[in-house]
Formats: sequence, structure tokens, C-alpha cells
Amino acid sequence: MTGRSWLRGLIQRAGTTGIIFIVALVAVAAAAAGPIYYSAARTSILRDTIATQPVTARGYEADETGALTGLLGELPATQKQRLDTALGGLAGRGLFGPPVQELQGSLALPVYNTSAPLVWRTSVCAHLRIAGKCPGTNQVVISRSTAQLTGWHTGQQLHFDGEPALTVTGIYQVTNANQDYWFGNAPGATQQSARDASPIQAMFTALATIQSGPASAQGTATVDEVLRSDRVTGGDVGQLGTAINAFSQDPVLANAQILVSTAIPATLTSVQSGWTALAIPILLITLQLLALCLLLLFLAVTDAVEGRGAEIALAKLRGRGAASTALFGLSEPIILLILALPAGVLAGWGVTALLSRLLLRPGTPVELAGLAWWAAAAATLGGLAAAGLAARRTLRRPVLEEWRRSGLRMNSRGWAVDAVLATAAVAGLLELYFSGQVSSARPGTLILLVPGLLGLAVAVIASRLLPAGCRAAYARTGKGGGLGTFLAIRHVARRPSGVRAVMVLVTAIALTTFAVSAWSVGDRNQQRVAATTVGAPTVLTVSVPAGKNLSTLVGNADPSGRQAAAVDSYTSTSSGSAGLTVLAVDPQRFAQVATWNAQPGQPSLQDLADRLDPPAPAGITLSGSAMRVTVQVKKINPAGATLAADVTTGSSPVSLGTLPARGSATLTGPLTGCPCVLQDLDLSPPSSGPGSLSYVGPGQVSGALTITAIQELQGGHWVTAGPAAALTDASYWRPGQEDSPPDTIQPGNAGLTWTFSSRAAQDAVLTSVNRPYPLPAVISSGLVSPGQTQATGVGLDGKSLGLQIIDRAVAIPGAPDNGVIVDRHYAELAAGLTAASTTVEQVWLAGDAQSAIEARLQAAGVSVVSSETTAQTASTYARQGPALSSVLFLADAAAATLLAAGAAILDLYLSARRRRYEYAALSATGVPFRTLRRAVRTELALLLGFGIVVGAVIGAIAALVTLRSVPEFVTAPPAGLLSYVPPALPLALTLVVTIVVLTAAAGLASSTLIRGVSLDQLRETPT
Amino acid sequence: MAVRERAEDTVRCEGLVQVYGTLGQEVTALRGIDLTVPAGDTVALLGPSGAGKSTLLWLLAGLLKPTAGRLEVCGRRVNDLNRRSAADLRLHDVGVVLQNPGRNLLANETAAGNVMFAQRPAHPGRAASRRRTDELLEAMGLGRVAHRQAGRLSGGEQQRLAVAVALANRPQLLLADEPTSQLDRTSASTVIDLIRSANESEGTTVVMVTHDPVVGNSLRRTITIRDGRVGAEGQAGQEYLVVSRDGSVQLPSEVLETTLPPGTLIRAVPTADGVQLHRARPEEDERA
Ligand SMILES: Nc1ncnc2c1ncn2[C@@H]1O[C@H](COP(=O)(O)OP(=O)(O)OP(=O)(O)O)[C@@H](O)[C@H]1O
Ligand SMILES: [Mg+2]
Repeated sequence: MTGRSWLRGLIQRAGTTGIIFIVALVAVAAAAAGPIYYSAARTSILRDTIATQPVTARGYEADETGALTGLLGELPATQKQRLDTALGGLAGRGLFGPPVQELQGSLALPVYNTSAPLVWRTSVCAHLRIAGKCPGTNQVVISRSTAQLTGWHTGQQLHFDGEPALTVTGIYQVTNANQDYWFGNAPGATQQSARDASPIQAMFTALATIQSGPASAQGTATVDEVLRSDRVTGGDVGQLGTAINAFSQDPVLANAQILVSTAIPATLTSVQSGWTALAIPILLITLQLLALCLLLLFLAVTDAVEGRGAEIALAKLRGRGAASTALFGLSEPIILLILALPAGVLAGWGVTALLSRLLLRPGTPVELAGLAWWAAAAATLGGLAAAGLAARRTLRRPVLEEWRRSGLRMNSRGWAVDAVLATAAVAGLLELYFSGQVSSARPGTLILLVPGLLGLAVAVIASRLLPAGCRAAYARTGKGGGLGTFLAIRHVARRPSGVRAVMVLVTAIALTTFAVSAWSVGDRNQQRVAATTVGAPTVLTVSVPAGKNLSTLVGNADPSGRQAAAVDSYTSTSSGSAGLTVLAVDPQRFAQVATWNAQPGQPSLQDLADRLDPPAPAGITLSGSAMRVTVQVKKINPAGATLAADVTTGSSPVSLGTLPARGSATLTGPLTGCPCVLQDLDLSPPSSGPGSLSYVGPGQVSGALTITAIQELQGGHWVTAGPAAALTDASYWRPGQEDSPPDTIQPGNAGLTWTFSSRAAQDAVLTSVNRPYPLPAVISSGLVSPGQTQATGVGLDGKSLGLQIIDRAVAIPGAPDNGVIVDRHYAELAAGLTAASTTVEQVWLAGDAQSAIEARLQAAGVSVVSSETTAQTASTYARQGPALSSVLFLADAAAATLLAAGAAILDLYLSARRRRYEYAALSATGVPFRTLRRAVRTELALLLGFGIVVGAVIGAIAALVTLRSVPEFVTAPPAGLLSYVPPALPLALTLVVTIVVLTAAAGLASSTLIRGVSLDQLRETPT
Repeated sequence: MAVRERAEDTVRCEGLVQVYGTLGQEVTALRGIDLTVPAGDTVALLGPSGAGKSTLLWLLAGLLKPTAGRLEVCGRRVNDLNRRSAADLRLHDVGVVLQNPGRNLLANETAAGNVMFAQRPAHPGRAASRRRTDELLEAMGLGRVAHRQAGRLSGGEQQRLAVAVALANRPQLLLADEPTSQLDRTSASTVIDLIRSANESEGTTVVMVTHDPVVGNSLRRTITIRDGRVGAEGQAGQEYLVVSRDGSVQLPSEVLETTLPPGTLIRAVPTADGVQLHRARPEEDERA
């Protein structure tokens, strides 16, 4: 056959040729897109994970301890060389960096019975806020807390044993302890590093200061390096993990006393497990689209080869052998399939690149992976097999039979194919059902096969019922009804071959309906979980200038009270309550900005706000310059116990002095930094020695005394502090109830009598009540048992705190599973205004408030350490495996629907075109074109409408039954938050778009067809 | 070019029976054909519509397997041929022109392309096959339309082209089913001349179905098939009856209609070189 005639044939069968090429293209594109998408998604997930990990989980620290002088010369070079060796081929990629070096010595500080760390760190001054100057040789900067503790100040010369004097050039604050630069070891950060063992925080200096020290001085050199998320790709992970493991256990380094610590391998392992959640769905989704494409290809090639039946018979007549005839008959599909291979790979790559740009982490490379070519080649081979199978019947048909055949008939073989399809589909469904994948609460990936299988099974049956139904209707329309309807119904009844195309359409639409449902349900759940996990549209973590109260600052920044709320968040790490998060909030403001998922019948956050901060006794506020307590001691054991007052803010405790063994005494102490609130009176057993850094003394203290007056010095006069009734009303005080026997109080005319008996090594404490007790709280329902009204939580100081449960929530905003909401003011009082170091101060913001409020807060001296938004978190979910596979499913299903619809319309068009002779004959007998057009349109509408309705119904049913088991999150969120009822809008929109597109295409096809009908056709022989 | 070993008889049929269809719906198209066509012979198959002429041709082409009887074509037993060797037979030894002119050609292919298509697998030499193509088309008077699409040719041109295609491979046996049915007298004689010249120059054996007595008489033998049997044979202007395997003889239709209508009793009177048939009158015999 010459190329020209081949081309002519191709053009003549343009419709079929086109559909074969497009189906092949989509099949190859889908096959190639799977691996490409997977590889890109892997990199995206990897980078996302790395980016969100704490720095220690994505970097390593190498340190060496020894004589200070040579340390920095040796460590960086050695560890770098060993790392590069371990990395092998990855070494040149610059995966790590930039290295931060540190050299640390220590200065003995006998006064405080400790030593002070003297530290040089690569360009440290750039990461400190220094009130003063960056230190040079023999100069240091000290931290604010060190300055407070020691009283050292700028300009002071510090003298340490065997060292030249060090001049303090400034007081520093760490700009942002969360920066990678600090590797989690910023002075004052929570990690318990060796440096923090000393109450004196790192004193930073120039390198020369340390290196010029005595030769014998010991110290530690450290190198920190962090993995650069923008340099690693998914393909590196395996090798990288092995390399880092080898590096951290390198015997050469161990011999050199170099210690490497890193959590990178653990991070990579968790990344890899995230990938598995993606690999199987992508495979299944790709296979589904591929299977559908191959089915379509089979149908299209069947048509194409049938169309060339006469030519194939001729080839046989001319004595062509079987292989040569097959090649002759299949040359067209084969060439189309081969052409579709590179085109499809490129198309798949392009579409994936587009999809990736929309879905994946910005900057994720989309590479044409080698696997993509293999998958594409496999799809092409599958296509060739499908084509071969499709052509088999025609190729094997005896020549004479070909000449005798009239038109396309569907014989028993057609039933066989359908039966095989239906049986396979049903078997698959049963297998899934009995293996417990369907409707199990545990998400499983195989569930993604259900809609396809269900669609196929029902489609096969339904597509058989349609002609049967039409045959029944045919009898009726024969008598009544218009000619158009009659013709349409007769054709549908007679032509089960076109019904095949409808079968594919039904399956594809079922897939799309399901995919749209799955995606929209997943998206909605992800939005919900994101909103609840973050807690509010925006959550800023801030650092508040010393002495300022965040509530006041927020109040100033947002006078409306609707856009911002101050929140203290403390997550307990102590055993027993680990993971419990206390959110101390301004209830009214919080109610305005926080995400609240009220279950049916549950009060709104507004309603709960009032109950979170019920009125409480005012407490005793001290605003003078000194305070004094007058007591009448009845007995005390042992003698020499000291009394102190714990006050909020200011300097606390206020040491009041030693109590007499018996008799009355007035003890006085200075107040600095007040006004402050009296927290408690604290009676300590006498300690053995002085030394303010020694902690608790042994022993216990017991006895009884009457407090007759608490006064403060205001304007040179002693006045009674607090309410007048403070000492005559028991509700103002809480004795230590955990003591044994429990302490008691007895108000009387003379004052308040307190009988106490502290536990071993503990003080006796008389607490001034200035808040509700227990504290009203809203708590995650998972934390408490039904009916429970009281619970023990933790306070902002990390100590246990009694709670009164006023409501329980499926998900507490900000800490869905393990949160407790309490009033911020009361919680701070409960913690004595001394929050645990891990307590985080946050500002929760309403949706549109961020820029304005943030600016105002910054103007007030608040620095924003980090921020988290619902939108960001939602987009993180959207970049995780489940969402990524869901979108791929949607894209693939949409592609399948377009294909199937195109194929169905083309098939109907072609079969109607074969009947143009009949239409021409009808029009010759005077039937108007209008009626003919209506006949064609009715036929198309009947078949397509059937496909859409049946497909949509199956898809919706599949969604309702299985969505619960479709994975939506990598880690399961609180179940109560999720809903699996598909939102109506996306579904409706999909259906409308499908109907509009199909109607337009069908209308076009029928008009073209009828316009082509002319009396000339009567001269042609009917085929 | 290689000289092919030729069988003495190109076609040898013995008691050929062809039954179409499946159980219960059987159509017996051929009821025992005995026919031998020596190499180089030219035979015209005549007979009424539905007599089984095309069926016989298809059998000879190896497109059908005989239901019963023996069939040998070009030295090969068609009964034993599998698909592949039957194809091989057609490829090397048998050229076929089908009754339906359109079916003989690839409609999208040019006239020349059609001829090339028929010979390409047999003759790898491209230049040679091109020369042969031009030769054949020229001889058929199709030189002008060599590069026109076969589907666009007139019915007559298509028929001539079909013959050219069938002869493309220099077959031992040319089977042609009414190759001149749509041709005017001149074109028909062009076709017949070409076939005859192939017969003369290459020794091609020809079996041709025709309704046209002029065409039939231009071949050496005419064989009339009637009701699935060989009814008569003509050679050199003489018409003969043919005795079939079961001893039956088909009388010429004019005899059937006039002297010996169906149901007539006849008496066979042996003579030295056969029998004479007479209408018998049993009553007279009785009286005698
Ligand atoms: N595949 C078939 N199945 C059943 N019957 C068939 C088949 N092919 C041919 N016949 C029947 O066999 C008989 C012989 O047919 P054949 O085509 O050989 O006749 P013919 O002599 O070529 O007629 P014509 O001159 O009209 O072409 C006819 O009765 C025909 O109907
Ligand atoms: Mg015939």
C-alpha cells in the first residue's frame, strides 16, 4: 500500500482514526503521568515534610570535645570529608548548608557554684538583638536573663580564674530562637543542652577570646548543618537515608571522638511511609483510566478493522499470509499507537507539569522519569494487545463470510465480552466487600476500585437493558407517537453495538461523579480540619516585650474586640498529661475569632464565653513599695521557718523573714515591680545553708498561726491590703488540701487562723483566692468520660490544675484532640504569672485582620515569631498523598468521561451515517428533514441521557457507600469533625457541564449528519 | 525468472460436492463435479444463475473446502490445505477475479497500486514489479488512469483493472468470475485478448465464468453447470453431454422442453460406441 492511499484511508475514516489516536494518546499519557506525578509528588511531600520538621529532624550536629586550641581546625574538615564520602554521588549536590560552627569553653564561676559558657558561633551577632556592641576579643555579650540573675551590666569587667578580664559590651536577646541557625540550641530555648545546665546563659564572644585561652582549657566544637529542602528530590531519599545513617555511625568519626547526632533518617522514613499512601492510589487510578482507555480502544479498533473488512478479505484473496494480513489490517491502529507513544508521554508530562504547578509545593521539579517511558511503553503494548484482540474476529473471518456479511451485527461473541467484563467487575466487588475494604472505617486504598467496578458491572447490565426496553417501547411507538421517536427507538432497539459505547460512558460518568464527590468531600473535610487544627484563620506566635500584658496589647490593637484574641498555649510534656494543651484565652474575643464546630445541640462559643470567666473574688492587690504581715504564732515546728509572699509580676517571692516560735510578729518585705496580686503566703522550713541557687531544703513544717493583718506601705503609711473582709471570710483563702492532714483555715474576729502541716521537703502554702476554683474549662471530649464534671489539667506553669468542665467539644480549636480552653486571666493567676518556658503567647486573628492587627502589634513592640494560617494548613493537606491522589482521580475520570462521551457520540454518528441511505430514502418519500433530525437527536439523547443518568446514580451510590473509607488525611483527625455527604453544588455543576457539553456535541453531530443527507445517496449502494 | 514445476493437469475434480450452511438449513450448491483442466487449457463456465459456478471457482481458489470429493489445483490437494497453504496457493499459482467488480480492488489505492499490491509479496523486485504493472495496465488500456484511485474508475475500468490485478503474479491458473459482465464488446475483447495472450505466452490455465456466449466461445472449452452438476461441454463448436459419476446425464434444455419433457420414460439402446436414447411407450411395448 502506498503512503498516499494509506493517508486517504486514514482521512476517510477520520472519525475512527481520530478517536483511536486520542484514546491511545490518553492511555499513554495516563500511564506516563502516573509515574511522573508520583515522582513529583514524592519530592513535594518530601520537601513539605522537611520544611515543617524541627531543625534537628532535618539537620545534623557534629561535635567534638577536647583541648580548645586545635578543635575548630579539625572538626569541620573531618566531618565534611566523612559526610561527602558517605553521600557518594550526592556529595556534589549541595544538599546541606550552610554550616554553622561553634566553639564553646567554660568559665568557672564559684560565686554561683557553677560555670558560665563562653561561646563563639559563626556570625552570631547577626542573630542577636544586642543592646550594646558586638563583642570583639576579650569582650562578651550576656543574655538578659543572665544580666538579671547576676546583675552584670554593659561596660562591666568580668574576672574569671586564669582568664584575662572580659568586658561586657552588651546585653543580648535572641532575635528568633526558631531559626535554623540556632539548631534548637538558642540560649534559653527549651532543649536541655549542656549549655543550659548552667543558669548563666551563653556569653558570646569573638573566636580569638576562646582560642587564646590556656592550652589546657577543654571545650566543645560543634558543626550544625541543615538539609536544604529545595535541593533534595524524592529519588535521593533512599541513598540519602543510608548515607546519613552511615555518617552518623562512621567509625572514623567515632575514633576521632566526633559525635554526630541527627534525626534525618527518621524524618526520611516517615516521608517514605507518606509516599506509600500515594503510590497505591496512583497506581489504581492510573490502571482504571488505562483499562477504560483500552476498552475504548478495543471498541474503536473493532470498528476501524470492521470498516476495512473488505480490504482485509482482499488481502487474503491475494494470498497474503496471516501475519502479513494482520499487519495490513492493523497498520493503521499500530501506526497510531506508535505515534501516540511519544506524543502521549509528552502530553502526560505537560498535563502533569500543569497539575503539579497547581497542586504541589511551589518549585517542585516535574521530571520525565524513566519509569514514565516504561509505563507508556506498557500502555502501548496493552493498546497493541487490545487492538489485536479487537481485530482478531475480522482477521480470522473466512473471506467468503466477509463478502456475505451485511452491516455490523452483534453476535454471541459480544455477549461473551460483556459477560467477562461484568463477571470480573462483580468478582472484584465481592472480593473487596468480603475483604472488608468497603465501608470499613479504616481508610483503604483499594476502595478506589469500587466506583469503577460498580460502574462497569451496572453499565454492562444496564446497557443490555436499554435496547430491550426500547424493543418494548418500539411496539407501542409503532402505533402512536411521532415518526422521529419511532425511528430513534427502533434504531436503539436494533443496534446493541452502539450500546457498548454507552456502557463505557456510564462507567466513565460513574467514575467522574464519584471522583467529584470524593474530591469535594475530601476538600471540605480538609478545610474543616485545617480550620480546627490551626484554631483560627490566622494564629500568630508572638514574643511580648517584658512587662507588657498581651491581652492589653491586643485590646489596643483591636478595639472592636472582634478581630483578635490573645491566647496562651501550653502543651504539657510531663508524664500523665503529655500532649495536653491548655489554651488560655480571652473568652469574648476568642469566641469571635476561633473556629468552632458546634455539634447539634451544642452551645456556641459565645454562650460558653460567659461561663468561662465567672466573677471571682478580687484577690489582694499590692501596689505599695513594701508589704507586711502580722501573725500570731500558736506553735510552729521546726522553729526558724521563714515566711514569704508569692506575688504576681514584680519580683517574687517577697521574703518576709523568720517567724518566731511562738507569739506575735510583724514581718516586712519590699515590693518591687508592683502593682501585683498576692498569690499565696509561703512558709518554708528553715534551710541548712544560704546560697540563693540552692533549691529546696529538707524537712517539713507544721503548726498553727493567726494572720491578723496584711498591709502595704503606700505613701509612707501602712494600709490594709485587699478587701477589708479578706481575713474574716474563708472564701478568700485556700489552705493546702493535699497536705496530710489537710491544712485548715478558721476565720475569726482576730484574723484568719491557719493550721498547717507541709509535706516532706515542701512549703506550707496558704493560697489567696483570686479566681474560680476549679477553673471552668471547655475540653476535648476525647479527654474525659461522659458525665464527668471535674478533671485535672495542667496550668500555664506546667503544674496540675483543677478544672470544672462546662462543656466538651469534638474538637477544640487549635488542639482538636487534646485541648482545654480556660480563661486567660484566671489561668495566668493560677500559674502565678510565671508561665512555663514552653508556654507560647499567641494572637488569634479573624480572617481579614492579619495585616492591620499585625502592624499595630509590631508597633507596640510585639515581635511575631511565626504565623500559621488555616489557608496554609489546608494547602498543606492539599499537598499530601490523599488529596493528591484524589485530584489525580478527578483529572483521570474527567479525561475518561470526555473520551467516552466523544467515543459514544462518534460511534452513534458513524452508525447513523451508515444509515444515511435510509434517511435519504425517507426524505425522498416526503418525510421532512425536521423529522429526520429529530429522529437522530432523539436517538442520541436517549443513549447519552441514559448514560448520564445511570452513571451519575451509580457514582453517587458508590460515593455514599465508600467515601468513609477513602483516605483523606495522612494522620487521622478527630472523626467527629468529618462529614461524608457529598456537597450538592460540585456534583450539580459537574452534571450540568457534562450535559451541556454532550448536548452541544450531539446537536452538532446530528445537524452535520442530516445536512449530509441528500437524494444522491440513493445512487450509492447501501452498505 | 524461475520456471515453476507444472502439474500436468492444473485442475482435477472428482465428485466434488459443496454443501452450504449449517444443519437443517443446508443448500447443496455442487452435487458431484468431475472436471479435469489440463495445464494451459482455457475453460468457460456457463450456466444459469444459482447453478454453482461461483462456488466452483471459490473451491478452485482454495477459499472453500469441498464438503466431499477430491480437488487438486496446481498439483496441490485443496482438501488438505490449511489456511496458510491455501493463501500460498493463491499467492503463487492462482489469480482470482471476483464477480462483484468493487470487491477486487482497494478503493483508496491507485490502479497501479492495486496491481503492485497483488504482486508485492510474491515479487520482491520493485523495479520488475513496476515494469510488470505498467505492462499490464498498458495492455488493458488503463495506462491513462494508472495513477487514479481505483474507487474513482468506471465500472468497466474497474473490471479491466481486476483482471490485470489477477494476472499480476503470472499465475498458473486464472479464475475469473464474469470479468466482462459490465464491458462493451470492444473492452470485453481487450480483456479476453489479454487473458488469451497470458494463456499463450505464459501457459496460464484459464477458468472463466461467463454468461456471454461470444466470450465463452472464444475459449477452448465451454462447460455448462446446471443444478450443481456438469451438464454439458462444448469443444470446437461441438456440444456434448457429460456423464456424471452416478451415471446421470443432463439433457439440453431445448430437448427437455420439446421432445423429452420431465417425466418422460426413455429407453437406452446400446450401440457400438455408447447408447441411443428413445422415448419409450410402455403400452406399445406391451402390445408388442
Ligand atoms: N454461503 C452460502 N450459504 C448458503 N447458500 C449459498 C451460499 N453461497 C451460495 N449459496 C447458494 O449456492 C447456490 C450456488 O451459488 P453460486 O453463487 O455458486 O451460483 P452462481 O452459479 O455463481 O450464480 P450467479 O450466476 O448468479 O452468480 C445458490 O443457490 C446460492 O444461493
Ligand atoms: Mg456467481
